[in-house]
Amino acid sequence: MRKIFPFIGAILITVSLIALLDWHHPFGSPLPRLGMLFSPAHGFWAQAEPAASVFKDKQWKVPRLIKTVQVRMDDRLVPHIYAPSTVEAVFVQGYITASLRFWQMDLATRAAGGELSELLGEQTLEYDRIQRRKGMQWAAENFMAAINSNPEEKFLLEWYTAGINAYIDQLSPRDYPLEYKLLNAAPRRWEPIRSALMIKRMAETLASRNLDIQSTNARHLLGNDLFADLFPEYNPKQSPIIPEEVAWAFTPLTPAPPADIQAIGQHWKQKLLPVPPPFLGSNNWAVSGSKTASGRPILCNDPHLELSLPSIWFEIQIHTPELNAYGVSIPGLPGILIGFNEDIAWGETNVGHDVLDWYAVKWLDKEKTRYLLDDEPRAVEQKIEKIRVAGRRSPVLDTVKYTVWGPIVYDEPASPYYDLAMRWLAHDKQEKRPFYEISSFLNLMRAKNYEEYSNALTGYDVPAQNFVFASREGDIAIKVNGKFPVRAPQQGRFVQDGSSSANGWQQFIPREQVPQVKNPSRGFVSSANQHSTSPDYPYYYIGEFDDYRGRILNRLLDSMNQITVQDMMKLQCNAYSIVGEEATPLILSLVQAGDLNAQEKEMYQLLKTWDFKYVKEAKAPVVAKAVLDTAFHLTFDELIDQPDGASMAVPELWRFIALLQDTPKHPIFDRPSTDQVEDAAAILRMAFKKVAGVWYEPLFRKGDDWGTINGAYINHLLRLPAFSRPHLYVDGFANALNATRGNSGPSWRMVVQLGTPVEAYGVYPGGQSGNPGSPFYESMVDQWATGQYNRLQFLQSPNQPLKGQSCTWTFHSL
Amino acid sequence: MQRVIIVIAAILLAFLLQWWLPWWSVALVGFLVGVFGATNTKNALLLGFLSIFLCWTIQAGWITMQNEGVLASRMGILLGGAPGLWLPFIGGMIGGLVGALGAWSGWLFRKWAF
Repeated sequence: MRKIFPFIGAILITVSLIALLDWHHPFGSPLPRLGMLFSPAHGFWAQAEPAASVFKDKQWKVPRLIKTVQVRMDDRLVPHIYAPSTVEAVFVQGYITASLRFWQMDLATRAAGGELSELLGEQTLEYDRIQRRKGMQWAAENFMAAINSNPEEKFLLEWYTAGINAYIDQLSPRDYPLEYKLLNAAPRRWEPIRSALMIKRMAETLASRNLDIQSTNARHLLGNDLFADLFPEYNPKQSPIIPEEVAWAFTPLTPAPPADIQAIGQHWKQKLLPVPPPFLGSNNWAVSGSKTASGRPILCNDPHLELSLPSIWFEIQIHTPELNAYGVSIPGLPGILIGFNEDIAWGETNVGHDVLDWYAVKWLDKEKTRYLLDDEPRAVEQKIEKIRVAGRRSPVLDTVKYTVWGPIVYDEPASPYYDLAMRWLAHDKQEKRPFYEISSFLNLMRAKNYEEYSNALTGYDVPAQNFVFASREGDIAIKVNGKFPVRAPQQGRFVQDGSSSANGWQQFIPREQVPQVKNPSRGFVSSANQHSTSPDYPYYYIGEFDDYRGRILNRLLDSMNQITVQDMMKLQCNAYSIVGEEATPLILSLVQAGDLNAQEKEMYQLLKTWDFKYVKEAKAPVVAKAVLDTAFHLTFDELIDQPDGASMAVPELWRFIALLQDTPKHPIFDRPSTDQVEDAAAILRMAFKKVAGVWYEPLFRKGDDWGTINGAYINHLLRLPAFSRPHLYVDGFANALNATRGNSGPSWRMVVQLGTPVEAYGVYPGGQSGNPGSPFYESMVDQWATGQYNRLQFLQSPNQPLKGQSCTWTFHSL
Repeated sequence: MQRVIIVIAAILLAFLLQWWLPWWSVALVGFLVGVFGATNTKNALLLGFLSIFLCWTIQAGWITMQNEGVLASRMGILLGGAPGLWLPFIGGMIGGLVGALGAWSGWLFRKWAF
């Protein structure tokens, strides 16, 4: 009698094991599909790129191309695209960028539009909901309407999209980027609106910060006079982007006065939206030939952003019959954002102007469907957002109400009378004009002189950037370029009354009236996220500006002559700060050495001998920063420590240092919780003793220093430590030109000397490949951390030899 | 000698099939080993395990050598701190286990059917 049951039993056990090993998150555990992952042909091993065959020539047959496109990959895997037309170049840019960075493009645009949960499940649902409520999809749709009205940009995005999809379409599951395998997901095809979401992601990162609620609360708490005293709008020591010599030779528009700035003077307990941290730290400058050793202008740019792996930038050269440009692109957008061609170079830093205002909406009914505007009832428009969530059958629906101002982001049952509507420049439908942001960058790539650079910028609105420029002809220039509302004084600093349309933006600054300068007498132009102008600029503006980097940058550039590209590299990596220079003597004079114990004296001595450089081996900056931070908290404790958790604006660092110096008896130094009356000296002594107690051991016994404390790190986009670079031992300080700290820092360092040929250098903290299994995943990180640069290989002809290893990728038409 | 030939044939078959079939095709290879190569339960399990263990470990070892261990060390950290060098063997164990159970099923099939 042959028994079938043992056989059936064995089959069941085998199938069960296979099912278990093929199960993503079995029984709710975090385990991936282990069987699939470890299978050499299916799993992660398929993404382990053989180091030796990276530089093998490759051939592809792709749709859409009319002629063959040759791409030469250099020793750092930078593609040099030679295409017979610009659209074909952009097609290949899409294909190559996707093949090296698709995961990042997908994740970044999903994060922008609130579509992460489709990949990541419940954990990101709340994040997605906020993105939808902020109107990110709406903003992207409005952007697409503008793009589609200009044939060039429409075609560029279509060809870029087609290039990305040509890559996606030939993928089999075993080729999926590693992260998809870990998440048990599949890449989806690209659409032009994803590029629009990428632009809106930039706007979100760079132009959505505002202090309306925090300032309203602080003014409510402090009263008008003390608020005005602690929150002045302009630092008299500031060194603005546009030098004082520039006269404003135009008739400005007059702002219509708003109804009442004070109208909404209440205490807002709303939890703030998660806003991107201030990635202040970007620098750019151009020095004219009169200040350089070669007699040629030099342009430099180091935009500071969140440091991530894969890096935000992707290096590329694009050569077509009409242009030849080199620089960095953003995966997800066609063209080059920061770079140079044979005639000009350009770069950007962020403009801190506030272009996001909050309006309190007066509801007329309990259901919050009608609101008051100019004494008339208005109905809200409702937009239903569908959020797909991995693991759920049907999408989560969320209704977002739109007023004339914009979406009601805060829709809280707890506040029956008011909710807050968001008025954000990046939402706006753009007015009809010859071209928009995508063509702006294409036109910069084509530009040959100042006029063409200047014209290229007219298409660009948001996020506003300080566009620096230098040309082979010898011109240098900078333009605070973008769309800015015309504001009445104080308008937009606080939450405004949304029941009066007079409180809205009525006009925008005409483009020819934005702050700008060409060939100033000082021989250089520069920006470091500081105020655009001195207060005599005819338009009022608010925002967040840096107060220290602009000053040190202009001071150093002023003093430099016979400048070489090496000098410029050193300047980008300079970690000296005026914060240390101004605050340390104050600390030393107010904290008298007399009543310090032995350990405290050692720390005092550290500060006394410090050169104000925030370099990794130094210990003094740890003490200086800790004392300043502690004293800041002790001084403004009544603002910072809110029992109900409401958000309060705190004074700017420069104002605090000025208070210590100029008005040491200011009542703000007194701590309400003690019986004595404290002054600046008492606060600093208290802070110093506290810091000495905390930091003596780590600094003098453990051997910690600035590099170990300030230390930078670069996170993988999913924050997987295995794919990240933690603990980089580097120089830097938020208020130094090298503003590296935590996970923020120079995301691309570029130095370009305009001559024949162009001599350019660059480096970014990452690598060209986004694949953790590639030798090029983080190949430039160590170089970046030690201030090294690569000579950029800007090819003049298709057959020009490349140094080091290289290969050719050929794209044939089908 | 015969067993060596069976294992080598199974390795080659598993290597070929993986390009068309899902990862668990190794269970089918194990099954065939059980049907045609096994003489008892123990030796079915052993041959099935060995075939797939070797197939996966050799491949992964070759890949990680070519890759200079770049990905293996990262995946090792991701999977709880295993040294990168272990990964080919961990994978081999997983594949081998599936292969062994496949072979066991095959052996019991043979006992029932023939």
